[in-house]
Amino acid sequence: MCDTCGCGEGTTTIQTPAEAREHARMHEEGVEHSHDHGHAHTHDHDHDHHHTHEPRQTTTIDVETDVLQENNRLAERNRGFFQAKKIFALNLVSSPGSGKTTLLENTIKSLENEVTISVIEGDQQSMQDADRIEQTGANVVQVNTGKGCHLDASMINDAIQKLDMPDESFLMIENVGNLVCPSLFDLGERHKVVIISVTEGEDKPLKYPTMFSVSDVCIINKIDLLPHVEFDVEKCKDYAREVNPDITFFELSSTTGEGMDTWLEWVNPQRQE
Amino acid sequence: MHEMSIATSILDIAEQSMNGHENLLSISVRIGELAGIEFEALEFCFKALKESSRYPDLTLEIERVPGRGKCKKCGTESPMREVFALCPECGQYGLEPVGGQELKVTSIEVE
Repeated sequence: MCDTCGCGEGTTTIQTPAEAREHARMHEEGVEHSHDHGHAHTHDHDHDHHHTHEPRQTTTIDVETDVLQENNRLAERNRGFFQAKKIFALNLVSSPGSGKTTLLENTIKSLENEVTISVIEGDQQSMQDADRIEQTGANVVQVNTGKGCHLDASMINDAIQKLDMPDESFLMIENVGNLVCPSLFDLGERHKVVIISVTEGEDKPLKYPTMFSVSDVCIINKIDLLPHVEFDVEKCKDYAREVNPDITFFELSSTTGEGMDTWLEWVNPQRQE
Repeated sequence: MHEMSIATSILDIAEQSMNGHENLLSISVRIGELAGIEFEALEFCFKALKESSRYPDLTLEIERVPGRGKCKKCGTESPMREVFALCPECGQYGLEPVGGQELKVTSIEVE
């Protein structure tokens, strides 16, 4: 929703920083404008057959449709698109404040000479994150979910169309800060990467097992703060492995750079099969 | 919360299936205990949606499916109440859900 004029209220908006600035300019200059909804829904039609019940003249129609079918269908479309264009797509999830955006900025700065990087930012409101990423030179689109608590496949499907991603490039999706809801919604990514920082509890994996079980990678961030907090890294890793024995860990500090080399080596799409 | 998104999808799927009928009376859904859905939250969200819908009589009938898990370590199948649970047989973590993950609109009642 537009903060200034309230247009698009309750709907998702998907825009690049340049589009956001243009919109702000239109407000300043009092230019009339309207908003589209940012993404459209399409639905599959399902089969049905009728049988009637007496005496109320009501009809029961069999539906047998999975509720997340539409999201999963679009996620597979996204996945197919990424595979065809050899785009390495990651879905970054965490609680708010884990350091996702800083990690993204530093990952981009380190790899930008080797590969074209695009970013889809997800937040309830504001262009803050997209503006930060824009400063790094990467292509970015901001999805504002309004009241929504997670990104879904249709938002990614729409955002992709605003990003001109070349073949063999790298896409990072920064999901809405939330360790619960995003775990249910496949976006079509190659890997989910869950990020926790040492300022959070080491028992996070036990408290949010779903998210840890669907993530292939866990980044333990802000390790430069370890001397100041009571966080047992090995215990945290043990908890995570109980929920997901195959999870891969990276321990790093995106501000000091410690541990970033190992992460950058893994994440560099040049290295991926 | 994502239950609002789920409730919206349920209503969308139901409306797509009405096949020319005017009034939607009820939607039947089958939801497993391990589907990641908070039942009360879903009912709450659905109620809110219904108030702003065209269907004043609309009810949501939820069929709950109990969770079942199979232990990766000892192979026993047992009831599973939550995503991360101990095997009641061998006491280890490693229960894989084998039932109770459904999230489906099964049928609707229209007139």
